[in-house]
Amino acid sequence: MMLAMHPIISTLGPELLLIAGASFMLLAGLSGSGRANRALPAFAFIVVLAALGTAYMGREGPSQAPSSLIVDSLSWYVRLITLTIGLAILLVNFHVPAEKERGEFLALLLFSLAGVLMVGVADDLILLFLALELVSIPTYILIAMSRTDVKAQESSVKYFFLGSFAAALMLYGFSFLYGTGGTTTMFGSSGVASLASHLAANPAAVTEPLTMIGLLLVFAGLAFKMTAVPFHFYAADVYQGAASPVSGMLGFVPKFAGLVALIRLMSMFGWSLPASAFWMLWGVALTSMTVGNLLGLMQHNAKRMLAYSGIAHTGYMLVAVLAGPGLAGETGPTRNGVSAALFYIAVYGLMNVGAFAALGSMRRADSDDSIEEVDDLSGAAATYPGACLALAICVLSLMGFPPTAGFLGKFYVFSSAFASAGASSHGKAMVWLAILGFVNAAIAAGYYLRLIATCYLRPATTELRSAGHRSLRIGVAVCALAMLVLFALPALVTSESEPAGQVARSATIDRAGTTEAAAAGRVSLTADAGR
Amino acid sequence: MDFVTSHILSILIFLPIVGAACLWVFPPRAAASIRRAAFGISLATMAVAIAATVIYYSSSQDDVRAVRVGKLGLVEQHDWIGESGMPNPPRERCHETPLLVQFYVGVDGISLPLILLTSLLTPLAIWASFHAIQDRAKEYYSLFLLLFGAMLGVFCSRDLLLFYVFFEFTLIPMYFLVGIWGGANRRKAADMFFLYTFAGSVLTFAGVLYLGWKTYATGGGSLRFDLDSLYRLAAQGHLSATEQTWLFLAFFAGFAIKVPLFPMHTWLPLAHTEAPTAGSVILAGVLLKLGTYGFLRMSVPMLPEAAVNCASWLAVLSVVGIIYGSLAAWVQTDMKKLVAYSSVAHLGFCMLGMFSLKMEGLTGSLLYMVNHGLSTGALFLCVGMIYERYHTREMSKIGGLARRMPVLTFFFVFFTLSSIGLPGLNGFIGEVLVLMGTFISHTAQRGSPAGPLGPLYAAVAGTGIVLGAVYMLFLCRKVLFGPLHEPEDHAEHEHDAGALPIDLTAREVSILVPIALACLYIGIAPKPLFELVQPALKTQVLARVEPAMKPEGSFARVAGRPLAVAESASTERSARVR
Repeated sequence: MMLAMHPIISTLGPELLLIAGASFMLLAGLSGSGRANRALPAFAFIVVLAALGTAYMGREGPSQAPSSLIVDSLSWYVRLITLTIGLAILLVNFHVPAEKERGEFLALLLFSLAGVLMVGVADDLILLFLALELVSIPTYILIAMSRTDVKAQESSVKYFFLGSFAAALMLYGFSFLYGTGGTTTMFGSSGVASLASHLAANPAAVTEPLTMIGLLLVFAGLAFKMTAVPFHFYAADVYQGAASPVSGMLGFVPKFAGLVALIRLMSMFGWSLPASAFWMLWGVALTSMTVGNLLGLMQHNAKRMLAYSGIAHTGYMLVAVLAGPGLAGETGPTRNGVSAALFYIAVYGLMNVGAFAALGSMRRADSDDSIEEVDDLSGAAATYPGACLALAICVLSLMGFPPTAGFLGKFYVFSSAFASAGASSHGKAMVWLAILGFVNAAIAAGYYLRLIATCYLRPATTELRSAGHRSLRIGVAVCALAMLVLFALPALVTSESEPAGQVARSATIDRAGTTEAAAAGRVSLTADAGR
Repeated sequence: MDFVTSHILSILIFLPIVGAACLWVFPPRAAASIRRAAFGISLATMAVAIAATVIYYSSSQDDVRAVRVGKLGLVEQHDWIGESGMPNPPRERCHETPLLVQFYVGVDGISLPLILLTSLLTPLAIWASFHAIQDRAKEYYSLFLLLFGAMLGVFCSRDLLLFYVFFEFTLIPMYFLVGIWGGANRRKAADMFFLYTFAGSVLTFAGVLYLGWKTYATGGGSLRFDLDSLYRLAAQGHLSATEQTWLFLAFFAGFAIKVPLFPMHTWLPLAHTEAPTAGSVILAGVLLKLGTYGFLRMSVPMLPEAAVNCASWLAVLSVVGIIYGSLAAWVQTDMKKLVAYSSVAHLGFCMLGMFSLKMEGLTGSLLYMVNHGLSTGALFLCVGMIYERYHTREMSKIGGLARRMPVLTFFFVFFTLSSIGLPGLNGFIGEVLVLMGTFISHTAQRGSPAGPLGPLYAAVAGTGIVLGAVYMLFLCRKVLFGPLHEPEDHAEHEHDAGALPIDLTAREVSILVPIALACLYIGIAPKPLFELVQPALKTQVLARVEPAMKPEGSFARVAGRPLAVAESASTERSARVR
């Protein structure tokens, strides 16, 4: 009881629970006893559930958060979505490691999830950096452990080197931001010197070269986490090398962390960027969509195809981030780009995990290889109707096709782009970005359809056998079902993403202590960008 | 009972969809009971559609029958996607809900004939698959029922986003129907069908979103997609001519590919030819109408100025489509392809009549949708019946079937005559009205302003009728008459176990008879149909598009907003202020 009263513990309950559980599993895994190893998946599941429960109880947040931590509806949303999708990720990953390595493997997975949660609560550049690295470092090892194949080693090493490079860039960028503001605190409580209050008080500071360099470098680091063009090169190689369920996790966890960090960063800048930064992000969003889809169109390898689709989806999310939180008082994801992006990433996480895991639920019978080429799936629907139906639903959702949640994701994202167009001097640019996004959706249909067509329309050529544990199949079914349920009842997610999108703006207004009038002029990213 | 009557459209849409799920309780081997169950569900849906029609006819408000004044009936509104709202809404917006999308359905004289057409053709198409579809019966029939529900949903929707969802969803079942049970080239046909249509409708989605955003930006306080709000946009002058043109193009992308208008028709012959018979029937009979219905329901009344401005080039495309489709049909050697190309020509008539923007033309266009569904659907069925016996559709390999199959020949000739517009059968009415509307389009008469088309269009399109008679009678002569000519290997298979008898079976006759009766009925007594569609066309379409037309002079671009619209907008605005 005494412990629970401590502000750090009451604020960081879910994170601490995850890390404690993971540490225990590391130790238990060392014991090497078979029984302990078999019980570990269930234990990991319970830890995540308990973390979710703790997060739910603490979602109001303490009245006074400890310094360098921020507890608001965005951090609650991050906890809710990470842990919920984390359950699905755990379900599909239970069988992936060899039994001896299960302890380490699942512990690393939990560490990575804890990292995402930390990104949501970090209110300090250093803490934010540590949190982002806590997300990434376990994934380097996860990839290597996921398969005994040399390809997994290769992709792990590639990911590690490029990831460290991106992290270094980001840290360098943080140092510039520290240089301009003289503090690493991002928002802080009112009265405390923070980067947000510094930037709000000195509008000229935003366009200073030092700030711009810092911003550029941090964007580069985050673009790597989100697999945005031009930092997307690793994605296809890495996803291809990892076991399918791990690739599904890789597509969601770092991307979500990057997105949340980007939203925090944009809030710090009060959603008002200089025109050059606006056009840079605009270009990144457009090229991510286009390059991802065009390269996806050329792939014959199913996992590489899904990796490129992930790049394109990053582009869609960036469109929504660029749309910004809209005018004062609006929270709905149709008008608030942040809510839309947050809804989109939740849906994307589920459909991506579902699609990769569905691939992972089948194996080639002749060589016992996992499914790599799209052609391996020929006629799979006849023998594995369930897995193929789930794959088809997830792929239709990726395509943005009704009746799946992916359709609503696109609906929200592009609607917010149109809505922001009405209120900004870059209105035309946003409308064009949305239209090019629609064109992209049409291009993407080409390769998504190929996956479905191969499963259903082609005669069976390769013999497949089913792979993985029953939990994998449950996980796949849950993801596919979620796509249909969220289409009918999007409010399950939007009711949480709405306040989270709202906080992205109010964080600057309330915490930085700027006046209401100044805030009104700076609320929209794009409204100010043209000045 | 009250619940049933007040939710009749939901029941209509979801009965086949739920039925599709129910088929999965059968064991996979029980193909016979699966198809009987599917047929039963589709018949039940047809019964619901008829019940809905009866209820609509008897519904009245203030002693005025809804059908007499073209009012919307059987309305159902349920909230679907909403937003929990703003935490601190400005005071003037407090009373408004930030609700977005509703499950909003209703029927009127425009959608009702198409609903009835759908619920007549689909059960018959299911029945027609009894012999042809032997493998993966469960998937086949459940996809068919899903398609049924989605098509009904399109015609019932009164919310643009809901319409779009159903419109898109029809692609998935049709994709699999063509791709799994189609002919030799089925994969290419299915992919082409899907990608073409999807690429177009994604652009339509951009237009849908833009319109929704516009309802919000013009002071609605919330994003809305219900047709009532969207119709109001243009009427109140919130859409500039440029915006309307762009939106019209966005809608054009989705609908014109579906119709298909001339340069976008390339997916159609392939998809129709490769689809299984029942698939072709539904594709030609109903799915193409989704495009024309979209134009009639969305583009024209929602974007009246753009519709008037673009009418002439749309009409050019339609006329080119009529001539091109007819000539292409003439040179085909594959029976199914011939009928497929004839659809391109027929749908050209449909579009031409619609964009004459006259009551005659619109009525003709809507009747043409129904007629084309009946006669072309039936022709596809006939061709399918020949194919099931001879396993070829090549006209060079078969001939003189009249000797062997007199019953089939009767129906074949009957539907051919209906298709080429013989007076007394259904095709005639639609054709005459379309051409009449086009002819008089540029004249202002009886209070209706001058439309955008003129006699030239009608004259060129008229040659299409002659060509239509040429290629259809050519088909009849080749296949039915002349010396008997059968594929060489036919004699060997003729007495195989499970083979069909030489002439039509009782099942096949009973599939064709209802369609033939419908053709006769519309041909002899079209008046009830006129009374159904004309009030609705007047209030739903013409009343909205006529203010955008100039009172006199033809082919003139409308400059600025007409006075009448501005006035009505200002009164509306003052009403809102109060």
